[in-house]
Amino acid sequence: MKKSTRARLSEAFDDITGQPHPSLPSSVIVGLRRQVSETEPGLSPVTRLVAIATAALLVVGLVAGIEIWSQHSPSSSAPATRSQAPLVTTLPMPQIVVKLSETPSDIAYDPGRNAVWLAQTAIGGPDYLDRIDTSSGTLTSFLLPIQDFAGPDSQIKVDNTGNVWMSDGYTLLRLDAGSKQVSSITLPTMDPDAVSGALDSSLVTSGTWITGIGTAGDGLLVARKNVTALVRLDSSFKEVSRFSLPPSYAGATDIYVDQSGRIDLLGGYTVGKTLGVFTSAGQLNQTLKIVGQRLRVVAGTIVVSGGLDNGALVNSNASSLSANITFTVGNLSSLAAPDPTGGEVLYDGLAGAIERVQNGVVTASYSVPRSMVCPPQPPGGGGCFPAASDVSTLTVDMRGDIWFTVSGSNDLQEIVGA
Amino acid sequence: MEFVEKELSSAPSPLTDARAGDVRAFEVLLTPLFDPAYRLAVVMLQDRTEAEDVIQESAFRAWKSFRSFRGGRASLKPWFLAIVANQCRQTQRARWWSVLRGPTFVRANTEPEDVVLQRSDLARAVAELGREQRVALHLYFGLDMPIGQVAIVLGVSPRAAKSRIHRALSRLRLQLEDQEVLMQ
Repeated sequence: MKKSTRARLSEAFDDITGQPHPSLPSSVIVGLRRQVSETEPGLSPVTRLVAIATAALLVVGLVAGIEIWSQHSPSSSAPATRSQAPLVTTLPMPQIVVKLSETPSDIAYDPGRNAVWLAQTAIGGPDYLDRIDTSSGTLTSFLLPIQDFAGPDSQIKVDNTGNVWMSDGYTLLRLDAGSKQVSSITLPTMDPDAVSGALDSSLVTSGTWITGIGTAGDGLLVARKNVTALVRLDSSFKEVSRFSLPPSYAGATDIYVDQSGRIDLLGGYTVGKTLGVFTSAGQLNQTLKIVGQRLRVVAGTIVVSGGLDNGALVNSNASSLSANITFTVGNLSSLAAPDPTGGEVLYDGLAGAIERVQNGVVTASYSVPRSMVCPPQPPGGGGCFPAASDVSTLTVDMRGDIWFTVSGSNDLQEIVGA
Repeated sequence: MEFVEKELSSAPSPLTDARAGDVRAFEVLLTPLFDPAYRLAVVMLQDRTEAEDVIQESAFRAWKSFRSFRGGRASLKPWFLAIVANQCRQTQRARWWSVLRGPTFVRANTEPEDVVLQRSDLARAVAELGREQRVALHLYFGLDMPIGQVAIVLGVSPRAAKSRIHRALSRLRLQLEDQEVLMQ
């Protein structure tokens, strides 16, 4: 009787592999116990010596990094430079924590829940707001009342009371922390502060979709493309106030409101990029020349993500800001996020690497695997070339674990912190 | 609006103990996986001694990164085999002469000569496949793993895993079409 393909191949593989040596399990276990004991307290003399030498090198690197940082004038617009630590270690290999149904359009870390929020949107839906518990890896998906692809302007923000806000084109969504109900509103395309031609469909620059959101108390501040006003909504999406913006802040790409009510606005959409510091009443107090896409904030640490000043660390006090751009790795595909355990984590789009940075010095890195790209072949063949897969979203949790997704992949990956 | 909750992980006792740092509990979880891990390493490296070293190193790496393991006991096997596969790739990258190695056969056969020859041809043809195709076939046919788990070990999507298996089978058929080994 003819054997199936499965049976034949199974036998063939048996021939290839043979049986493992009967003592393999016990020898592996013995080896494992020895390795574990060597890495725990009570180090062997050799291991201790290596550890001391490594620590000494790290201290030297840290001191060098601090010196480089201190030489750099805050808020200076000096050319971007970056330092390599004498000992740049390799970050651990990432683990795939969750396979999502779509590539997320935004990611946000929620320190209150120690969770990561992700927006999963697709043309035709269903769309989800996903929460990953960073301790257990548990995924909770909230079905959204939209069925569309949000695009790169989609943002997620968590307010002080744990409500989660999300923007998606002209739609705002709010997940109530208590009832776990999602409510939404779709804004009219017309806005009283829209600039001339904002709705002229013959212009490629037209449109008034939502470009940035920022939580303020239990409400939300909303910036829109081609709209020279910042609108404040309450928790039921009712407009409670608005103030006018200088034209260059129309279409601000991100908003951060600190505890004093100071508003940091990264704008604008069509005219350059400047970080503006506004009072809670809307008065422009200060501007900083910073080119970036997003403001990532954890525990008061503000980091510019994306754009030419990716990784710039914004120093703030009650009324003003200054920026240290020592760590900048300018590239549109670059990303940055503050590390709650210290420093920040960058995705260097030029190098295709995720990097831990302390005081302006790269201390550890992980090269994102390259994949073969095969463009349409000309007559005679043009061949393929390896290209890095861009990291599309990036954040860091309270333990220093790095969470990220890669363009074209639906895997949420985690690099466990040091 | 209703929400859908999907629990991805459960926490049976050995898993909890192992996560809490109990190396004995970790050993209990890992020991049943040494056999498939060894076979996978031999298929990838075509060298039994190196395969044993890789299992040793992989067990330690798995212990070090066990805190990040999120799944239940059922997903432990693909998770550990993925570590083994990565370790094999690293080992192969470190040696420039890997392409010169051929498969070694140790199994003593008591079957009719033509059957043995036919199986030898098939084993040789399998060994001549590219590493990743060979591994995909082994995981699916040799270790009888479902496509989803094969994909996890290979670090690709299920669709890509299926495609890899399909391409490997097609290539085997081409190599063996005169011998009618794989007609189904």
